[in-house]
Amino acid sequence: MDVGHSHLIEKSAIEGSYSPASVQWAQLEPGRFDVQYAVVDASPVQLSARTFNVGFTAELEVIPQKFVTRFCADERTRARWFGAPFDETSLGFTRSTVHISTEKRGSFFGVTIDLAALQRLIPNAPDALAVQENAPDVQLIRDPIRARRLRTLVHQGLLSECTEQGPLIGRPSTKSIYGTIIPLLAAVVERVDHHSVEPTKCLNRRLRAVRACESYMREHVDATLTLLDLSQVSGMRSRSLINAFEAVTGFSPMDYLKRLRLNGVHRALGRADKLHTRIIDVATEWGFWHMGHFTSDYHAMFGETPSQTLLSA
Amino acid sequence: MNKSLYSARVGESHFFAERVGYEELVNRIMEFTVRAAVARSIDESDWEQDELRRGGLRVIQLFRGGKAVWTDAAAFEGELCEARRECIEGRFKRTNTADSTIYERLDHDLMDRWRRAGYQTPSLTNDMKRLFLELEREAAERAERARESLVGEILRDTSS
Repeated sequence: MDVGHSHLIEKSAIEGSYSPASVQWAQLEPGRFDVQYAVVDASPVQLSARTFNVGFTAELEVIPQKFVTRFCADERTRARWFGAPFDETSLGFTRSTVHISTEKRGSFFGVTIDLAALQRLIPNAPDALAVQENAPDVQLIRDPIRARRLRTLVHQGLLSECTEQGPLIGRPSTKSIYGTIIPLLAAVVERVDHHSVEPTKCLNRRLRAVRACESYMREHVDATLTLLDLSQVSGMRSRSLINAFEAVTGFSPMDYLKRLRLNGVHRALGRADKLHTRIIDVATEWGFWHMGHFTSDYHAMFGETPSQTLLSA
Repeated sequence: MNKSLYSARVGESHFFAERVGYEELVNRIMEFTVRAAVARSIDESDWEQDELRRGGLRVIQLFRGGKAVWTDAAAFEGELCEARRECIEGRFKRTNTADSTIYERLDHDLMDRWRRAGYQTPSLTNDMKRLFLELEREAAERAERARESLVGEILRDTSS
């Protein structure tokens, strides 16, 4: 099955690590958003690859009993895992939520383990037990050697399931995959401790503030927000909040909010009834009062005018 | 509504200029800029003020005669065609107008005003970081002098 062009939510549903209803995402960089996905299901281990062509931010809830590991698929990818710098030397783990963002294009590999299924299938294997016992929640470690090894294994696992038509969603023989992946992951999670964990306390504080603001922005995306509102929500002074936002997202809070709203209009127009929808009304609903600025920002972001989006709805 | 009166704002802030002539608009932009730089120097800037520093004149939403001013003539024509298709051409024309040179005019006149005020600044169209830096530095120096002057004044008063 070809898994070429589609949206993040649909792809997340395919992958099965996340609850589709929980997916919140926004394109942050100009361009026509596209995500390429490939998934190999070797239950209880699932390998995945995804490439995003422009910067984005996403927050997702992991399905209970799944243990998710994410890492960069190449050396060019630069991202943030819960706000902490995330590069080819990093391994990100979670059992609850994922918060990832990139400022530019990014390629990621993933390994998802269904811990309940793992327990059922190989209850007494030491490596499987080590993964079950030590699988951490929301952690990031720097381990260049194991990150590279894991990258190679996932790449090989995915490659073996690809055909000339492109990446497939496949179901290969599982032994070869969890025979190599589980021992390696067991070795990695066993050494997760407080010394190897990032982000730092300062980044945690800043990240918490930014996440509180992001969530407030999403809830009040169509209302008039001020920096003072966000300062109160985050408990940070305005200048510090602006700096934190830049550090975590790469954008100022105002710019970030504008991008969230542009994404909102883009989605609204994309599913609108083109005969009965007025762009001016949708833009106003999302807080854009100056149509000139709105149209120019929209075009810069999505590479098309609002009317083109509406016509192609 | 008078067709040559301007209103201006950044983001969702209140309008910092409302229904004023062009010369007064230039004054208000200067005032907004100075206040923004001073606020930034004491870490009290609003995000609209910060946005002006980062994005320059282009982040200012301008309205003339109550109509949103578009600087991209082609985009304006495109959306006007779309408004015709949607049968809201009248509404669109009542609330939008095109002027592709407004920012250049403002940039030219503001640079001239800043020069007369003693600040040599590059184009302000795409960012105002250099101008802000200079204004912030000056605000900080003056605040420092004012603090020292206060200390000196109090010590003089109590010693005499």
